[in-house]
Amino acid sequence: MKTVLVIEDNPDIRENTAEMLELENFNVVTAEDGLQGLELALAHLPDVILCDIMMPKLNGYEVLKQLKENEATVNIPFIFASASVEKKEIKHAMQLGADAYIRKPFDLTELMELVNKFIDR
Amino acid sequence: MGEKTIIIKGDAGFQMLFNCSTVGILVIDAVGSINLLNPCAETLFGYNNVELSGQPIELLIPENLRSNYFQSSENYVGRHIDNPNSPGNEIYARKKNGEYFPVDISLSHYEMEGEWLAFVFVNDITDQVKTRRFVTEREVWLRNMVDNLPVMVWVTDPERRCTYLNNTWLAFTGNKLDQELGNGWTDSVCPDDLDYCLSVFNSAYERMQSFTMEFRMRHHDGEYRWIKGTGRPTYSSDNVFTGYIGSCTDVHQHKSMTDVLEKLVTIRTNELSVALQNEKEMNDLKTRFVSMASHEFRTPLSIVLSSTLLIEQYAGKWGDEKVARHISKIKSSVSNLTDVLSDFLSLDKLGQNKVELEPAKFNLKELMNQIIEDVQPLRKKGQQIIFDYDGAESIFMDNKKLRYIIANLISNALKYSEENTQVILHSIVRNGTCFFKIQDQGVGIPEEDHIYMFTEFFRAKNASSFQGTGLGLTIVKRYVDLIGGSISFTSKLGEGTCFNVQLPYQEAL
Repeated sequence: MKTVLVIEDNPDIRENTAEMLELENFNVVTAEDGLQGLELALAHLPDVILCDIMMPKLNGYEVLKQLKENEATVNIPFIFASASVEKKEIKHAMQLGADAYIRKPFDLTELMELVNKFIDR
Repeated sequence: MGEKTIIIKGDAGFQMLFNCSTVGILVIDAVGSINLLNPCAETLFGYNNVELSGQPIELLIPENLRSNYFQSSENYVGRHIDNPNSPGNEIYARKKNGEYFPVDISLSHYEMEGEWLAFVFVNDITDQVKTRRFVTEREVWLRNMVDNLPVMVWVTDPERRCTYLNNTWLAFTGNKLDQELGNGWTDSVCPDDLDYCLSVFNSAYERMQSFTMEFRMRHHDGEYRWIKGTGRPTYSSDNVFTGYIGSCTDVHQHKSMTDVLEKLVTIRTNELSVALQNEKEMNDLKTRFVSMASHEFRTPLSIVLSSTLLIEQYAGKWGDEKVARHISKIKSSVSNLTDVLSDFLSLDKLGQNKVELEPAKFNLKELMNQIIEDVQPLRKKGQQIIFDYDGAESIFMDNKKLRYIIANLISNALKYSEENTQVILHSIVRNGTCFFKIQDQGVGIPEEDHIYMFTEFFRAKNASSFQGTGLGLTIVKRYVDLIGGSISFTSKLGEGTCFNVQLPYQEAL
């Protein structure tokens, strides 16, 4: 079973996203802020990471930067999920080495297409 | 009498002089009787020697002037000597035929053998008098003209003293001419402006240059009024500097008006900059609001949508059709709301000119098919989309904006049409221009609303029952403009609407 790490500070979105992924037969690990996300990424080495941008403690950009600096996590596909539609944010995210960007609210098909794209099942 | 003739005849040279002189010469005795006249005098008066010999000199004087002019020949002469050049006081002589003519007279006398005799030299000065009169008349005319010019005129001499001011000047200041001449005029200049006035005047004099200046001068009512003065050096015909001539105009009203206008402009400019600042602040606020709203609305929308999707998953297992119908409504509402938020954000960015073209290589035909696929959920019962495509497929263009344009127009076509209608999407792509025609059989747009169709938030009168924000076409138009294309439509109420879009593209290899 493939593992997805969901890093999201909003508990409802976090739970719902996790639930949707679980229904699609993924193993889901959740983190409620960037710092916890980093720890869990290192501990679980998930197959894909879905991460919010604006979060307390450590924001999404910082999480991505640190994961890319680490040999163990550098190759894990990283997807940003944000409510922001600012072009410059998307650009910034992609420049930092994100693999994709999904805009909230997203529907199930959109999410699954994206996640599956990065997971060899 | 005869003796005197002999005496003159005795001198041949003198006789010749007497006869050939171009001056009329009369010889008269002490009682004013004419003794002799030379040929020139004969011609002047029209008498010959015989006719005049022994006649009184009064015969040659106009009748009406005889008593006024003189009592005797001595007065006649004396008067002339008293006023040798008095213009207009010419002495007149009378011809035999009664004509008068102006004369210049001089006299010398001598005594001979106890008898007093006088030579009277007479010159006809008709021509000189005519010239003098002409000159005088011209001068009077000129002075009258200058005096009555609607501008104030002044003249100064080489020593910077005022030598002439016209009546208009004197009427302005209310002063007498002798108060103003020399340096008197400076008393009328506003004390605050006098230094400036004199420095302009003096420095112009030093360089012999023309000058223009504005200063205040006291009007006869006591008020200082703004005057615009000009001056330029004058030269005599032989090029000798003779001083300055200049004019002054009362520009008080004009100047006051200018001052008022300038103040008004300053006030308005300030108001405008305040308004601009407010506008800018409002815009910043709007942008922040739109950005915040977009973000903050998306988070709860995310939850609504994901929860709905989860319900769908669970409910799907139980197979309840009613639940499915409501889930579908929630999903499409969330989708609508998300689109509206996107439109708000897009419009705000367009308003700030922050939107740039992002051209990419793509297959246009595929994109069109995708769009048709995307709008399928909007189709009402029996609605058909008829699509045809002709021309190049692989092109280079901003595909996201193009998608918005076409998707919006097709969505509108479906939205504003009844069930069982057709929407025709006709596309021709060649020679650098893609042409799209989107035709529906919908409600149409009222004629009077046509001009407002691309105005933000505008909704046609017959559109109130259809959901919409009035932003879609505005954004479409802005995108079309950005791409450098054109958009137009024709519409008939109750029959349908047809949009035509032309966009330039680059063919991709």
